[in-house]
Amino acid sequence: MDNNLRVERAKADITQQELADAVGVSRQTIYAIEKSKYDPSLELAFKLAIYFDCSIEDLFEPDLD
Amino acid sequence: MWLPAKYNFLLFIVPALVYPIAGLLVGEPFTDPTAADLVLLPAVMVLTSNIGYAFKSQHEKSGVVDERDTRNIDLALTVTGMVLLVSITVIYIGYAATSDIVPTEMDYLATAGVVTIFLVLGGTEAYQRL
Repeated sequence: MDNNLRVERAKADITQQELADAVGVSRQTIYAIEKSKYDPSLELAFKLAIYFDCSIEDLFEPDLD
Repeated sequence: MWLPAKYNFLLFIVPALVYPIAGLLVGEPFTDPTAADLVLLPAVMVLTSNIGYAFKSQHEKSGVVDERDTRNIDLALTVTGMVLLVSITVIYIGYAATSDIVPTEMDYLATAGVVTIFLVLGGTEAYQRL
């Protein structure tokens, strides 16, 4: 699954660690999501969307092929 | 804050399984481990890891345990279960190909594996349907 997490984080001007602390995960998890190596749970996806004040669809783009 | 139960389970079970074969890996002859060997070292591992994690949790805002780690552990345990079940099947085939009698312990392991599969499947199905 592709995502715009890195872009949104850059817009918000926060570090991976700060985002990780805000949503209650490790920095490594934020890194893995940004690199598309890990798809977050629905719960974490909602937390990220709420943090950036956007919808989940704005953050994540599923591969439907 | 202590480590989640899944971590404690792994911290106990992995050293307990590794200890008996550790000598073989460094070329030493196999010696039967004592019950203390199989319990003491894993218990120390669990205790020190929990103390370390509790200390870290108190001094850092974000923990080292989150859903990604948990999912990775789930995957590792799933693959381990599949490998063990395939191994048991292969061993049974090996016994079937010879005239040797299958040890009772193997039957216990196979029974535990099959019963666990049905219990987990049945439990999750029931939970999701009721």
